[in-house]
Amino acid sequence: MTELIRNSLRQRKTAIVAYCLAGLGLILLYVAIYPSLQAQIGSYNQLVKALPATLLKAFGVNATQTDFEGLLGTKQYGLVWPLLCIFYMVSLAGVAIAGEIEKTTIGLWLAAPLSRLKIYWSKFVTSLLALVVFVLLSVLAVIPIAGLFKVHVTDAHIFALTAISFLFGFCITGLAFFASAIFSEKSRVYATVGSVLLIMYVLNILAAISSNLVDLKYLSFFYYYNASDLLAGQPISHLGILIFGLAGIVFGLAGANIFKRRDISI
Amino acid sequence: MKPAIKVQNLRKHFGSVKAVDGATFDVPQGKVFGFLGPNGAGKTTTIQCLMDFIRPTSGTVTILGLDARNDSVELKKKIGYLPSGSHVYDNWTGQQHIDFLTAIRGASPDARLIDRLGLNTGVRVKKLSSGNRQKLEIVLAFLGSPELVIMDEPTRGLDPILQNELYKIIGEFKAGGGTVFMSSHNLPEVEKACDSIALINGGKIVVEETLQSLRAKSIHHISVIFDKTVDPQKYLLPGVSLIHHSGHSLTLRAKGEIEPIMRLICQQKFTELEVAHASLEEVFLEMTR
Repeated sequence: MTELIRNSLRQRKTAIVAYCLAGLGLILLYVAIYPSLQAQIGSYNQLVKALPATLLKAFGVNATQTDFEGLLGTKQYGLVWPLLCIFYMVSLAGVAIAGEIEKTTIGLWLAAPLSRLKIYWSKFVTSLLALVVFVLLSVLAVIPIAGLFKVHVTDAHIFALTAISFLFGFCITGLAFFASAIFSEKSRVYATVGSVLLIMYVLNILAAISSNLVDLKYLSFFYYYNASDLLAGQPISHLGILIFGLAGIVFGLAGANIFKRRDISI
Repeated sequence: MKPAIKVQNLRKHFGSVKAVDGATFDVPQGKVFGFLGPNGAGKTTTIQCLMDFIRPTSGTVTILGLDARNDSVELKKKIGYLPSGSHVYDNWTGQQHIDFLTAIRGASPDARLIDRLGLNTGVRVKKLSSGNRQKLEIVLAFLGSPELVIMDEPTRGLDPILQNELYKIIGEFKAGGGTVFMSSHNLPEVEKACDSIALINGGKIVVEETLQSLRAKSIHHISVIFDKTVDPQKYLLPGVSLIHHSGHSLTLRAKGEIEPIMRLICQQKFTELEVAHASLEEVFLEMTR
């Protein structure tokens, strides 16, 4: 298993390094621009207050929190990080199974004395390891970077955000591996998972702007990824942990079962 | 002796398409078995069932006494596989592929085979020619001293020198007790390398033969231009039929051994002579008659 994971990591090292550097770079960017934003905080607050409350809620903007964590919650972890995480995990999962079938390189694995489940889980674990590195460098790294630039953050908030971010990534990984186990072209994985997540995103916005549709939020993963609330000091949602954990496990297991049974014509 | 491969009533249907439809055949141990058929006959589908890449609609596949599906992992320790297309990574070197499979199989590659094929394992696959890629696939197929090697159209894209080298490697593997199952749509190739054959067409096994009986049924087209007009009736020996005659020119169809007709032709002066294998389709027709 170690050899399989090592080889899978070697294959994906460029993507892993690129995404991790992007996540780390964004934190550095926000730390760097924070002093200048702080100087203009008055006009920023006026601008934010002029926007409809429902719109702010829909996009996870915390209008009352104007410190560095508020900036991170609104700009980075409210939108950019989830998108980056989705692109990262879906691309890794898409290439891991469907991409290998598309390129016929899966034949090298299938012809070796390896069970289908061992192949699947080695690739799944590889993606989770890549996720751990990404979350550490793009979320938890806020603590040392903020310390380095003498910007205040509450460590407990960042720890909570790190945990929910990992679970969000785990859930996306499970969903993407499920799709990757079904399809034989990675583009179909991207299109399917992208469509599902786009629908979830729209449902979350609709739930935020319309009181009649408020229950739709429960159908969206984005509702449970409440980065702004966590950075504002609210406790981590147990329902979110449960949903992300269960979704990741259920989709991961379903993908394994499909991959074990399916025909792989190459 | 138990057969190395025993396929019984194998069916693989993709919706209404019957890719393999009730194939039954045995591959004897320690022999080279040719699996012959035109494109789309069901050769690759059968091989993919043997390798457990795809699962049969019905029927059983037993390899080296083990079930191809339930004992797939155990079996693949004993099987080498040479695919018809490339299954290697463009951005890996040959050595990285060898190291990867060596770690999984727990066996070292045959350094002599690498030297013999003249393969540079330090080069990335994307920089290798198609022939050198195939050399790498051959090295990977024989890695770990397999008991059986399954080859899907192994000489496709190979130059004649490398083709002959592969036939030699197959011969030596057989001499060491190994079994080879190779698919092909090239009758002369199968005649050169195999001990026995099965013909598949339309997903069904049409004929299962030894090479000796195949040779007895083989068909050649012989075209001759003599230096003077000849009587075609003189050349119609048993098994020989006339395809075309015009003045000095004569085209014959010879079934089985061609030595008698060639002797007869050589008694007369000629300016051109061409002997060609009949098409696979023609052989099928003859064998299924």
